[in-house]
Amino acid sequence: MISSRFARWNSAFIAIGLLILFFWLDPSGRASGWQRFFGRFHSAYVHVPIGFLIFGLVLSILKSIGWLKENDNIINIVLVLTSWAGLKTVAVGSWLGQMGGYPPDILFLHKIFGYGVTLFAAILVVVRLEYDRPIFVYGIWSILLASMVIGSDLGGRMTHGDGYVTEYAPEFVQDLLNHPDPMASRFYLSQPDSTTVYDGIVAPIFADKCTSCHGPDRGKGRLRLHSAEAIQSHDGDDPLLVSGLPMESLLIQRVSLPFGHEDQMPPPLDAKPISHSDVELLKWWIAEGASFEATIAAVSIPAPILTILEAYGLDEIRRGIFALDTSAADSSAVAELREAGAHITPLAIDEPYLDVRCTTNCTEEPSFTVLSEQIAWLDLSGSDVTDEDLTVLMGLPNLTRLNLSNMTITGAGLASMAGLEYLEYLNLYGSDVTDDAVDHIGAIQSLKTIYLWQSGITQEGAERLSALLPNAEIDTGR
Amino acid sequence: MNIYEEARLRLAHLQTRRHFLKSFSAGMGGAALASLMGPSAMASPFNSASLDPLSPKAPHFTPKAKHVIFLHMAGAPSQLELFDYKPLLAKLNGQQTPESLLDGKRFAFIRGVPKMLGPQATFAQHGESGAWISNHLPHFSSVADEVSFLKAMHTDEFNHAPAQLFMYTGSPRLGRPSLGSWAMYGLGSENQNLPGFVVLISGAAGPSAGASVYGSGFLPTVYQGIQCRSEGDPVLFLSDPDGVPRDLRKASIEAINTINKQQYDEIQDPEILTRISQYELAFRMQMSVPEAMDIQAEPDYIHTEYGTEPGEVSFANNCLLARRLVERGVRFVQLFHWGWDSHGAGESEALTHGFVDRCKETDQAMTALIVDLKRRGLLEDTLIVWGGEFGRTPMLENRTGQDNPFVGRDHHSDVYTMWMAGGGIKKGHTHGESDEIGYQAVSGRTHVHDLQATILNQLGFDHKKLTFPFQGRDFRLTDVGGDVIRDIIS
Repeated sequence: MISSRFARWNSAFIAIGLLILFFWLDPSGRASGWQRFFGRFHSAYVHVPIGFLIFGLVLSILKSIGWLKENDNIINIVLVLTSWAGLKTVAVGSWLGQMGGYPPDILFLHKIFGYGVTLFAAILVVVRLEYDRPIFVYGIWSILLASMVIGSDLGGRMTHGDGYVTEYAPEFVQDLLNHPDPMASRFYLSQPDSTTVYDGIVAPIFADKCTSCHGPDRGKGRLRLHSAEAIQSHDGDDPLLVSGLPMESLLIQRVSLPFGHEDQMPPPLDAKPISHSDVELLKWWIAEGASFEATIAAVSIPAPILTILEAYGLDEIRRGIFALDTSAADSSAVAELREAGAHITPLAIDEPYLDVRCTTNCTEEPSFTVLSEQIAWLDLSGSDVTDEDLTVLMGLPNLTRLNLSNMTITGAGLASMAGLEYLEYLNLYGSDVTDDAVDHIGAIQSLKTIYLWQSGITQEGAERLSALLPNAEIDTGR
Repeated sequence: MNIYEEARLRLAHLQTRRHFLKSFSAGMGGAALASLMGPSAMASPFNSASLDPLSPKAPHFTPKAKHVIFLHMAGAPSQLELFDYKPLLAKLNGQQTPESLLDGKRFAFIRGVPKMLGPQATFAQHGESGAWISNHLPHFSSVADEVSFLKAMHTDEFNHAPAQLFMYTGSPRLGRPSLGSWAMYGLGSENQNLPGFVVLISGAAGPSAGASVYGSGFLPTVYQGIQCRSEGDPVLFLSDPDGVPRDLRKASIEAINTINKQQYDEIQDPEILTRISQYELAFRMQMSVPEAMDIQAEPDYIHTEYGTEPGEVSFANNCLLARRLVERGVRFVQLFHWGWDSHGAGESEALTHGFVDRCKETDQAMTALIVDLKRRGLLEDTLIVWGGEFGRTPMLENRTGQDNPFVGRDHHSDVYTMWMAGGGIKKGHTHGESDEIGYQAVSGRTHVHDLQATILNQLGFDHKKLTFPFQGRDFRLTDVGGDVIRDIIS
């Protein structure tokens, strides 16, 4: 028969034990050999208090519906055993936590709930014996169950990863829990223009795999990787990051060592291993200069890295006119322009932009002006469009390709191209454009390829143009 | 039994097998009716914007290339005498091939133990990219920096007809649509007066697989390749018979198509649209094709650059025609040049005779094509692909165990070279590598399906999504494989 005196002493014993663990044993640092051995039994030990707790719950329910007609002392015994088993579990759990490799914030919460179960099991015995009011008893049972469920879920997440429980849950359950897709939430890739490679990709890798031992709480080997300042202030015999040369960087060397090597990072027995794709991403970051300021959209992304990032939810990075929010083309204007003899194809199924080819003068059509935002590729070659008609170019802000080959224009009309900030391709072969137009063409810095064969532009004019546009390829056909 | 049961029994006697079969056939008729009315209810595989199957359609994403010129060297040119430089092979010349290389291998014609054959050409590096090109292609060496080489292509077939079918239709068996037809199906035609898919054939014969390599397979026949000939009638069966003036032809076509349109409204067979389209296209082609095919209209310097022979059938003529057709908006121009099958069984097949002649026939023209397209600003938009259906062995061919009278190599499907230029492909790049004797691939293996996926990618298509339903499932050009070769895309 558990007496209320025994119950009180038990509660005090449990409480003191937990306090000692929390304030003294736990922060004492690394677990020693035998502590590590027992630490690994935590996942086995944890079943004992849970088993007792559930048993106690079942007995309580049976009592409350009247099936358990005998003395309910058995419930108190079970709860006391729960608290003792809980104390043992929490002790070995602390040693396991000290071995490192667990995310600190989840680990802390998991411990709190574990302590909660242990303590409240002891307290519940006291309450049942001395303050046996339903509201207290049911209240503490609820706390016990909630702590157990939440604490176990946290423990499972630390061992198996965030999506372990919800991965195969039915859709509505997943939506209800609003559980984010672990792949999509690992990196911050939703705004590649404004997120730096460090913040979006590198820091999450460090936080996941490295900072439990090389972070704000603990700096093993005098290395801390939790912030840019910490990384940059590392000084050691070997350089941590060598800009442009990943394989000479200590960071990559240590994570690329063969399995079982004594210097291998992360240490295989103490922490989750780092994945191949994470290493590739770190190598890419270092190869691109290990910059802390470069945004994802600004650096070049080779195909294998793009594959990895797309698996984590990186949407296609849209550049130039495709990053603009242009509305769809007016279909009646497209039909009208087709009637007038123009040949119109959309650039792609979901793009608003159009490829327009005219063999007659379609620039005078009103529908042409209606579609001015959507016209991205314009081919007027061989048509009778004159220099005066080319003023319409001023109204085509999203033009990227312009073909004016085999036309009788002299280039005066090219002054209207001044505002075209996305123009990349200009074809003037076989036209009468003269050197006077060189300044107009040279003003468009976005140009990448220019074709001048059999045009009126001389060799000197072409040289002057290439001085104005050093990044463009100018083909004179010679 | 009582009267009720008797009534039921008598009623049952009236339900004979005959009655069952009669009402069953009415149900079958109902099902047949549903399938006849079905096509109008189901979504059409065409773009619903227009009933004309040739009207231009948008690709899946913004394309880099709007046209494709495929230069097929039928017979399989020897990569070891053109692009794949193997100095070790020269040292091993005349030695017996070791057993380890022959174990489990099946050759087309080699029997027993062949000897190794050193390169029958001298190689040098050209251009800033340092591409290895042999002395047989002096002109092409000057444009080495424009192309990307695929040096570890491999295919599954080692005979001409199935390998050609595989290259163009994605399957070594007959019945599938060709690459050009898929491009037409996806994109439509840019020039409504010319066929969107033109085939130009030169050399002593056509491709071994016949017209199926440019056929439309199970796609509507309006997408098939139309062969344009250099001598005689440009397109067979196009011109009007003697005594039939053009306006009479137009009136009769209009009458036929009015009836066809009525037929289509009734039964919605897509082939009727094809038929209407083909009549109208043929009528327009009567005027436009002779003009497009008339290379005499080109200035003299063009003829000198290409090395054309007006009035004859030649590869150079066809290259010039290809440029003219691309200028006029033809989507897909397929060239075949026959005679590269250098087994060495005869002089025309020898690496020292016939092969050299083939090189002379093609070298200048394909270079001129690249240069001409480039200066007109068309190379950016035009994807040029060159290659054969497979490669050739590093071993000297010994047909039926005896050395051939002339020097030649047997078919080799494991590694060969193709090149691509323009249309968003990197310049001056090489992808893939074969081993020191050119027998196996060492890195960067690319399959025919990968090549097809890349071509479709440059045209703006995801090769897995460009499909057509046939025989109960969706078919695509790349069958069940194919990855875009990202390494050669700029």
